[in-house]
Amino acid sequence: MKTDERILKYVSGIMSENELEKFETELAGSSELQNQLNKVKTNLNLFTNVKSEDLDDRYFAALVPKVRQKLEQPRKNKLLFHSKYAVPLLFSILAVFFITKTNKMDNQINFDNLFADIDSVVIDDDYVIDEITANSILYKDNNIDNTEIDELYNNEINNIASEIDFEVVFNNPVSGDYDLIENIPQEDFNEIYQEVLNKKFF
Amino acid sequence: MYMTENTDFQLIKEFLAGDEIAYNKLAVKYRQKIYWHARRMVNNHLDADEITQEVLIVLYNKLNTFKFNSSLYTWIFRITNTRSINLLRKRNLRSFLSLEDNDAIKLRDEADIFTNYESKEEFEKLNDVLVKLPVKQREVFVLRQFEEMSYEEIANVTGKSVGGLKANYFHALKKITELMENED
Repeated sequence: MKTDERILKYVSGIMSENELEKFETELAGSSELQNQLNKVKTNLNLFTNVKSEDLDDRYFAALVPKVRQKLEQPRKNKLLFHSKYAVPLLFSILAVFFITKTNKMDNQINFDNLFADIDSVVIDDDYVIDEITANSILYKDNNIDNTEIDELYNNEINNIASEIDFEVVFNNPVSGDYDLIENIPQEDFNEIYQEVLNKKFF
Repeated sequence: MYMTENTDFQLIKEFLAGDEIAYNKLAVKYRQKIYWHARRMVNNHLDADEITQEVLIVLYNKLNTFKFNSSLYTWIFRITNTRSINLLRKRNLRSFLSLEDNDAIKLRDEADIFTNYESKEEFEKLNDVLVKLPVKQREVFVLRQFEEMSYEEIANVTGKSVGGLKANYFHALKKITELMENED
């Protein structure tokens, strides 16, 4: 038989004063209600504290020394996570994720541009090289024109030789303390001069 | 209760003055209450043991923050109750994410402090009924039934309104009565 809900309200103490007065009057005259109330109380009495003789008393005896031991141990530097850090941490992770993703996309674009630039550079260089090669004396008809080289060389030598002041060269102010010409024997001097002439410096 | 408070306050003052034996006396006095409240909330010995040790460590480290305007009894139960509920939440989350290790569950179920098998069985039978209650109903039922606290004292421990606690107790009682009637 189902317990009258008013008994549960009565035991829980949630009846208003009017309800309580009315129920207690009814309870006093109803053996059925009294039986039900007694049954609820009996069931509740089952939820009593455990008898200490049924327990291993060594557990409680060892508890305080165990706690003392833990208290004496040096604290470990462990990373504590508090729930208050959860939201900032989540935002940080998202921010890093988006920044990385955006950078990746930028990098992709930059690489594309870079390759395009490289292509253009390569094309330009090829163009320049072709131009140089086409007008080059050295590569004209893929053969070196020795006549032209000699002609240019001789012109340059003649022009330069007319501009050189040999008095300055041989009386170099830098080597003023060492009068090289005076120290060179005439024989060596002639040999050097001849060599220079042979090398077409003059 | 007044005498208890007076003794507790005296012991706290002695401990804060450097008397370590005063802490031992407080720990010995409350260790069983802490354990059994945790045990009824989390329904196994190992977790209850862990909570009891944690609460005793908090008691040692945080007694200097204790305000003498409430009883130590309420203060200790508030810490024990909060830790028990946190552990239940963690366990539910682990269970939801399937992170519970089967060996750990088995060990948790086997370890116990009962020396008498019949007593253990009887205790577990009743505790299995308690476990079927939602946590809010379980905490008010346990504190009222086993600790014989008034609704006002439970309100101090849980931080909930007396009206809400009465409603939760009524629903807990209704469910327990139904479960026990079904067993009969």
